[in-house]
Amino acid sequence: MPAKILIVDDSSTTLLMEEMLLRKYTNFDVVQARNGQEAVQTALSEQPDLILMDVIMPKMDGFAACREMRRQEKLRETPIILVTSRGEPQNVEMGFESGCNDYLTKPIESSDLLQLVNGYISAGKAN
Amino acid sequence: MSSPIPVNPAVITCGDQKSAAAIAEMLETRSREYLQHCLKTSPNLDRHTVWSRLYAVTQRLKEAVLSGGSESVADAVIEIGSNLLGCEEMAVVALPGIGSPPSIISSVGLTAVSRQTLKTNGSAIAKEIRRGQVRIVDKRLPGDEFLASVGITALVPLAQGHIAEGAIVFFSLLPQRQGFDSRDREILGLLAAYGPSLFNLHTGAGSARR
Repeated sequence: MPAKILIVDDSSTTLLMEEMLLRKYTNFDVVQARNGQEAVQTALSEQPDLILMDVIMPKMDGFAACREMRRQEKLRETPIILVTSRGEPQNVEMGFESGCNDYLTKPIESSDLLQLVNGYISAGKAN
Repeated sequence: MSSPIPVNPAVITCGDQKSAAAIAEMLETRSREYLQHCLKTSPNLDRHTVWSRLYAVTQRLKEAVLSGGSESVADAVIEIGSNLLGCEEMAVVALPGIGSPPSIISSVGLTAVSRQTLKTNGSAIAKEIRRGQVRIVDKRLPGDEFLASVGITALVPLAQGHIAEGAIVFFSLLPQRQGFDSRDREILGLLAAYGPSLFNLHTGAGSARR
């Protein structure tokens, strides 16, 4: 069964680029959410193998969503990569404190995204 | 002065008054071309990122055109600037007429200083916009000193024919970005090429986000 990736962003532009890269260069299934609240619900119902999530979003931001996901037994071990425009050290630190596994800054580079995603999915399969 | 960015004339003539459906179709055609280029290029190459971003831009603009709201195109442009160009402070402005300062249609992250700049230096900025060239501002280049001095990092005129009726004005970039580079030029060129037709369809009320 192909791995499943949840991509979360309030920006259609970012979702369009991420979805194209994942669909054309991996055989993973892709599901989407548009804010942190929706991301938590979708993650609980879809049980993705990896979550790519924006930070600045309406309703619930990426940090809060990350913390909420880590409180859920089902999502405690799911790799979360925060994808954000805020690459300052204090924001990166906040990301890791909220429970993310990795951090990617916008604008996204194709190779960075694919390498990170493939790396986590391969590591997950190996475990 | 920074060199102008060539824009495909076939695109520029894409229809000042064309319908939303026709423009969406053109954007879809371009999008498919970018996707094909993407698939022929290794994802490890910089060029792949450029094709991917151009694909996302054309798809996003198409989405905005079809959604039909008066603010949707401006919002899409702002979103593209923020997510694909790494600009945290930018505005889409209209030029109401000769001598009038630019008026803001939509913006993101605009500081009070930048708003004031658009007012107090409005005539000079409008003059730069009316030159009709996409500009990536480099303070070391003669001719770019003024724009650099008021904090403008790039300028994309929105021109119908030879008359600039507005512009996308970029101010500060995200901390991880040192400045616009050659890879950004194509996105700016694409916005210049399609922007006028898109805004012609949806001229409307202003909005400001964040």
